[in-house]
Amino acid sequence: MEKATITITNRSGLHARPAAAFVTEAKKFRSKLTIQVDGRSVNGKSMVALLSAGITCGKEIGLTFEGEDEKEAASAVCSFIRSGCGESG
Amino acid sequence: MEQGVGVSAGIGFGPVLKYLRADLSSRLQCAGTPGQEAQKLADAIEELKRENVRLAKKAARQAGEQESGIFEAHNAILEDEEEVLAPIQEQIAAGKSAAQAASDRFRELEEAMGGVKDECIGARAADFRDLGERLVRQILGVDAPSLERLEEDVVLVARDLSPSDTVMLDLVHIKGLVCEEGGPASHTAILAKAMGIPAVVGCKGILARAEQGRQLWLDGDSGEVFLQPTEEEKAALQKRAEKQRRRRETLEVYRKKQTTLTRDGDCVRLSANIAGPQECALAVENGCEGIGLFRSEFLYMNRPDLPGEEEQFRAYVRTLELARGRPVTIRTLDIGGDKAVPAMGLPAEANPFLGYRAIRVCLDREELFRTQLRALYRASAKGRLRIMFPMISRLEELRQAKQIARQTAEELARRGVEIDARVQLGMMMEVPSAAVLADEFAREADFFSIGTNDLTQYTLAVDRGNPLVGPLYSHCQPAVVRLIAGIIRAAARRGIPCCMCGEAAGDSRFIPLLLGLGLKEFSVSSPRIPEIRRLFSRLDGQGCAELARRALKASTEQEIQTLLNAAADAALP
Repeated sequence: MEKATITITNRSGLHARPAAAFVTEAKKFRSKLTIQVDGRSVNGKSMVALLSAGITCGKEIGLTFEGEDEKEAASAVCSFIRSGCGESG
Repeated sequence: MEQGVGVSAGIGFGPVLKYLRADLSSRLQCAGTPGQEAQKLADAIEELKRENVRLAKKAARQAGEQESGIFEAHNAILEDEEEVLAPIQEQIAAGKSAAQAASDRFRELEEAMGGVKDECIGARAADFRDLGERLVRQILGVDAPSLERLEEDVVLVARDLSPSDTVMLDLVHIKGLVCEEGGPASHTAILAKAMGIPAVVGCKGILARAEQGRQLWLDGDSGEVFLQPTEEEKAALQKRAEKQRRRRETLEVYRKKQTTLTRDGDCVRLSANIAGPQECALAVENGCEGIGLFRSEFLYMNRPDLPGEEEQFRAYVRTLELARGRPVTIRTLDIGGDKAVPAMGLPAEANPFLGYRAIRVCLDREELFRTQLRALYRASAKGRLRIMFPMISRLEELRQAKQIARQTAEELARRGVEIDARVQLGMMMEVPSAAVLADEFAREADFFSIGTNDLTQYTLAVDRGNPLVGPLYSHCQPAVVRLIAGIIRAAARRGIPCCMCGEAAGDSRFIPLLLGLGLKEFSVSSPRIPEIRRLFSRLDGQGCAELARRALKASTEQEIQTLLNAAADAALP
């Protein structure tokens, strides 16, 4: 199991296009991804779950990766978030 | 007669085309074997995804990046294993039809999203409804009534139009638009206005009362909709339409001209104010000689997120391309005051117009500003771009904004990005403190643009939206006129261009005075360009200069009004 805590920095948070890009990134890996936000856990590979979680800019989220490629997944997804979820600026 | 809210001016008439999402509930139930139904679902989802890719491209072309992002999000929803695909497949395995299972699941999702009290999430509930309906139609093989290619002129009557509807509209054949829902700020209203289609929204019960194929008339100014006009009403409407048509015809010649000349041969520039790339095409069509004001904040408003650098870059490039070599002045983000940007979460203020807005926000949240400047400079190589800073009230702000702009340009140049390093950096003249120091500002700004709406309200300390004091608001007050004169003079002394993009620039009674004061560029809403160009052709420079001399001596608004009225009478054909 790989765990990480990270702050969402892209301006629009995980909405619409950035959320779609996030899910695409997460699905590149086999590992299960669970996101902890505001005291609840949601599936990080589910667009609907992400949208309903309301993950806005500045929120701190926990990420838990479980599976054979959990290390690679954790490093790729975290750097994806740090780079702004495909949203520049 | 039905009454709605007129949101896009003009008289429209034609046979009714009801845009109804067919009630498919009776067809949801008949199911094949679970295996067949599962296959139907899979095929329909594949097809819908392909259509979304196509719509995303079309939307990016027609309406900009924000619209196309919606379709990418739709595809991500369609690929959601846990929340979308698995629940529908389970129901199919339990014996439901694919259509029924999909319809049920999307209704649940719509309700779940609608229950959240958040403006942004509320908007998403509508996305789920739109997507669910499209999926069910796809499964059942029922085509949506196509709005993409119509055979004849129609007036479209609908409950409301979703983003996937509006991107498909056939703009040539739709002569009018009547919606049951929506208000002046709705998606439909904004689109209709940009495209010049007469439109009425918020017209309750119209779908039930309008008959398919029957002639319908609407007046996009008054919001009136006539299903069966009496002979008198029809005559009156025809007269109104005829008047509009004649006016358009006489103005046609002025629309096609590429220059604006006064009677004695002086040349002024007549530009357009726009709020997005899609309006630029219309402005060029209306005969603009440039874009005097691109209100970039509209890229940021009415959406849950902020536009990124790429999205902005594409919007600016598209505008420069559509302007075909004409100069384009883009104003950097001017939010706060009455313009809210949900994604920024700015706090409510006691005095928003005196508060955290425009350049003050940008200099405070520098990354936001730099993102926009990067997008602007990257676009600068594609046309004649000018960058303008809003609400400058002190010299330090102009210096700081220019410095950040220069740094941004240098960074891009170092990275080898092709930019136009000579992009002019100018400012809005809309705060009295800047107007008073116009000479000092003229030394450091590359150009001025006078924003009369704010200049008037700040100079007179009048909130024109407040009905108790609204009548006190007037750009014909001597104090406002003298500030305007001082700004124009300061620009002339330094030899920098000076434009006016506020409402006063389109006030036909005020224009002779502005011309007399030496203003050379007027930026107005583009449908008004032809009539204003005609007005200039009747004005005489010397007469206007005399008018200006007298107006500058006036000490009351009444005196100025009297002078303007006399000049307007003299300019009549």
